Amino acid sequence: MPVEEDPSRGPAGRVLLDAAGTPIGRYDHALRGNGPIADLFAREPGVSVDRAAAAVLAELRGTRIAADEELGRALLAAGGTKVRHGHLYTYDFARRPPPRDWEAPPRVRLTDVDRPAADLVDAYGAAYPPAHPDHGLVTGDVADELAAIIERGQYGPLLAGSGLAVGEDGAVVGAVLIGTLEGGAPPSTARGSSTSSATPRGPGSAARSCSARSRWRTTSRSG
Amino acid sequence: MLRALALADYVTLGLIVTDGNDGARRLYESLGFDLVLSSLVVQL
Repeated sequence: MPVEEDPSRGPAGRVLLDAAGTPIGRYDHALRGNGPIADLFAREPGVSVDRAAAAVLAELRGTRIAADEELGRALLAAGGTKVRHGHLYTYDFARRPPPRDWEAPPRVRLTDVDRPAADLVDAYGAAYPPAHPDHGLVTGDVADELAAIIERGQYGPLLAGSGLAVGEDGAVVGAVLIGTLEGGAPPSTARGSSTSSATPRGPGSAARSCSARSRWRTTSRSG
Repeated sequence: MLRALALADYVTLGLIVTDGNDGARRLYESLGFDLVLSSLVVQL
């Protein structure tokens, strides 16, 4: 059951085939962390969970796969390890132009990301207390994770809209970091596709935000 | 996040909310984000 490139999804696109060459599912191949990920795996129409699970288990051992919930449960039942159960959202600016102004919460300034990554570490840690659903996803080295995103461009340059919330004491209390993930445009409910994130005027975008205070709820961890 | 949306110069913005973070889901939905899919990430 080979895996072939799927240019229709962009340069990272892949299609998983069965022994007869029939497409089973399509996904975006990427390397994240210490290994490969089959991101946004989408079963082909009419392919059952059992058939897809068999193909995935045969071909993608060692891979981290982001699959629909049904397929994911089948892979867990087959011995896989759960990494994350998430809900993918997208904002379509063409369909829903946002207001072009905003108000900062009381006693908070909203700025561009004009501080070193180290200044965000306390807020990041405070945003994911033990009871938070994302607590288990926090790495051991938050400072390095933030530096990778902000200073080393792990997801490309930070995109417009990235910013900080700064409290009256000058400390960073929240952040929105928007970068680029491989895989093209984010899925849209309007067209029902399933790739990652993109823009026509630049690279794709995905947001991660964190906050130490309730005004900006901890919201997302991309990838 | 309103600032982020206002300053964006691209046409789509994606993000993932971990299951169980219902407050974040309500927030994003109130801002106009659309739920596209729910997924399980599994290490094989």
